[in-house]
Amino acid sequence: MRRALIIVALARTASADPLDEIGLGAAATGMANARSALATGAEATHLDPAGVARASGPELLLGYQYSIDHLSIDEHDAGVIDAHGTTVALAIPVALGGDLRIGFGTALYLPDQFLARLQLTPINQPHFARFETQAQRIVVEPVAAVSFGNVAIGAGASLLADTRSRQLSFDVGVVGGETQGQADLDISLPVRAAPLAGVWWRPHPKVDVAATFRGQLSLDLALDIRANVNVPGVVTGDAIISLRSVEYFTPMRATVGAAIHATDDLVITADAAWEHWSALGSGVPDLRVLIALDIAPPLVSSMQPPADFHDIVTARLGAEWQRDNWRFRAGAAYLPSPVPAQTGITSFADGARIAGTAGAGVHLAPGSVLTKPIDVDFAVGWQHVAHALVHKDMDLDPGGAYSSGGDIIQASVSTTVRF
Amino acid sequence: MGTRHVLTAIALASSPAAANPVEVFGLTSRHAAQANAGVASVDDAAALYYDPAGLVADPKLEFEVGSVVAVSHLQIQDHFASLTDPVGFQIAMRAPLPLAGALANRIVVGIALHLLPTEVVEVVAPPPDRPFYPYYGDRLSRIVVLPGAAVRLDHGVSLGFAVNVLAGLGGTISASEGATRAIDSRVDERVPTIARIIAGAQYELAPQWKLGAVYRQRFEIPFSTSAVTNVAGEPIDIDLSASGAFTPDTVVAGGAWSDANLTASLDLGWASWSAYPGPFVRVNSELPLVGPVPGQTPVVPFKDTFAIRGGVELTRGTWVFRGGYGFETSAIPKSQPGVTNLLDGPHHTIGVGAGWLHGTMRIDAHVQLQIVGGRTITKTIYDGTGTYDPFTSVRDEDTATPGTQTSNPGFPTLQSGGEVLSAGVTFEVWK
Repeated sequence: MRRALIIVALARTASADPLDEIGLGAAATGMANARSALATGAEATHLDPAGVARASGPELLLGYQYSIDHLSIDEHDAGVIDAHGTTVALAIPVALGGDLRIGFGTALYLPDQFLARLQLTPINQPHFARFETQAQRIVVEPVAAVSFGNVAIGAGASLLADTRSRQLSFDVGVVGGETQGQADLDISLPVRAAPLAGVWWRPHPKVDVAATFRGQLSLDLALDIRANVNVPGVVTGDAIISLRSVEYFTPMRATVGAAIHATDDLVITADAAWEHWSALGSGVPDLRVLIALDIAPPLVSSMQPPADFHDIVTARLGAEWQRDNWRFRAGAAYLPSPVPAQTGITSFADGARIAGTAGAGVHLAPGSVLTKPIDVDFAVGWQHVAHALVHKDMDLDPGGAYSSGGDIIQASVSTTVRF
Repeated sequence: MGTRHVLTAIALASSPAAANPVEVFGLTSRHAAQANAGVASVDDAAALYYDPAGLVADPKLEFEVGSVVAVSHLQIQDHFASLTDPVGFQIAMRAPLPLAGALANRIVVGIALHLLPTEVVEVVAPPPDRPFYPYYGDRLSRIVVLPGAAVRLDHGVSLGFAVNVLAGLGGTISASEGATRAIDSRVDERVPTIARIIAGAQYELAPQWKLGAVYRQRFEIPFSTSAVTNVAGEPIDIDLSASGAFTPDTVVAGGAWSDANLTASLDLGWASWSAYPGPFVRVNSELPLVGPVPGQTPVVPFKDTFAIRGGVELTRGTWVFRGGYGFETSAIPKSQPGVTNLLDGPHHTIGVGAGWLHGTMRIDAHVQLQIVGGRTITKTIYDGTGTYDPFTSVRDEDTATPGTQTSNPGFPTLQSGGEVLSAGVTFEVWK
């Protein structure tokens, strides 16, 4: 009996939190997500947990967002599927007397097509690793906060689940002269969590500042499929297909933000975020096929080159102008790429992004129809991914090259209901 | 496979275990204490499971949080099945939409959650001969997420719906030699959203009488993975699929009577367990030198179940006392002479509990005992007559050896039955 091990290099996906890309609610979308110092109540569950305790009463935010991806590689459609899903956020503040308040909340993002998608392509195939599945995962962020006067702090967790096979076996044998197979499986999705924290401070009546932190998060996939074959006189042994992958790598992130109330009806906001992409590691998971049957498979060496992503700092600006019950918003952002020059075997397509957004919202006041106010907001956004032409190292891939770039169009609508 | 000796003890030790979601142990102590009865009387956030129309029965801003713990004393021969996830946490909340005038307090939204401490879901599909209790198996090892809404119409009619949401897993792993003998491989595994409906209605027949009915759509978590591998010209294809956490289409109807201090309710239920595809893995594979390998999945004639449940709630000052009883027939065939060892029996549920009111908050506690009727499974050896049916008999796995040689842990007989005890506490606050 001979044994052989096949180790296959694949490229995994790495992405930001889906709610970082388009925002929780259309107000955030319309201001390029630059609202960490301004957010209160339901929308603060993602932007800055400290803001959950600052709401005047319970709030429910319900929204829908859609991103159309026009990304190309070598002038052809890159195959990045459009991302669309529902956002839900809930905030329940409780006044404890005086200026002391506490609050609880949860932010959810539910993609339409699936809660998560694990897509691995050959490592040398050019693909948009940061966009292929970035908005194709669920987001669950329960938080709690306390505020006292002009200061608030909050904390929580960003939750995701791994996928693990505790048992996934397939037994083949002969019973009563017939070849038969039977299988048993035990698949679990254990929860994993990354910490969230935020602080908010109003040092001046016209100035709000905020700082937030989110730990690193990913979805670890471990599937081991074992086939045990026992057909006397024909073949006996095991075949094992083993897949290990770390998906949806979402880097550690620290954000500082400010909101300046320039006039009674105009507020200017800014956010800057540091994202720890260099922790991505090799960027390459592996699929292994272990054969212990009477055949002679080839042996391919493993290739796990380091991804060498680098940390980045993103900058976002926003403005909100209020006129009667209407609010008009605009935003802009610069989002550099963490991907290094792809001259080696890996072919991660990426590029620096610039973004422009606009939006509006109406505040429906209590009256003959409503007992509490309701906000209805909508926004559109555009992101341009810089065009890049990559030339491979002549020693590794003589003449190898590919180009990439494109645009992403976003739209969002949401309503905030107060109880 | 092949010749093996009887390994009953090992098989029993690895039997699947259970947590305690709402289908079995109830949602909140108030309703678990009434043996999960009350489709017509439910009037709080727990209505999202029992009958979503009840969300609007007594509209208020409400938040409930609690925990439930369960222990098993279910017999598998001379062993007992244990629970690997004995603790669950429950959250339920609802709020009327802030509408005034004719729409005031007519539309209520809410969400209910049952959460496990360490995982989202576990799908377990054991081999056909493993003894285990499907009713308390992996269908209990999942979180439950139930968002919903209800609207109160005129003439005492209320309608409501909720969505039972979770995820599945399916996809393909492929690997084969490319033109340069390097392995060309791709992986595309998806976690799709699974959403099923719970719809209900309540009707106020008279000031003290209410009727209710609820339909809960069949729910299961599909798992499938297809490993398509070609090495040295030899196919190694393994295609596995299974359905976990199965709950059948269910219809429950009931009535309730209430006055200022007492509420009594009675429910009748039907569940379409005959549509259950079974807990086993379905396989379709091709291996080197062996060729196509058919799976041997027994077809089990599951039966629809019928249930009756009754509950009472009595208020005395700041104290509330509750009790209930339920009976449900078993979906699992009593006779299993073949390879399967699915354990179950008629279910008797007895619940008691109490609550303490203080202003706009209440603390409830309950204890619930489920008694699973005892059974003895007896195996039959295949005599070689006719086509072999794995459900009706087991094979002698080594005919060259005198006597019957079988690895089936249920041979010659298997005893089952026992009790599951659960208890919980819920804190409720409203405005």
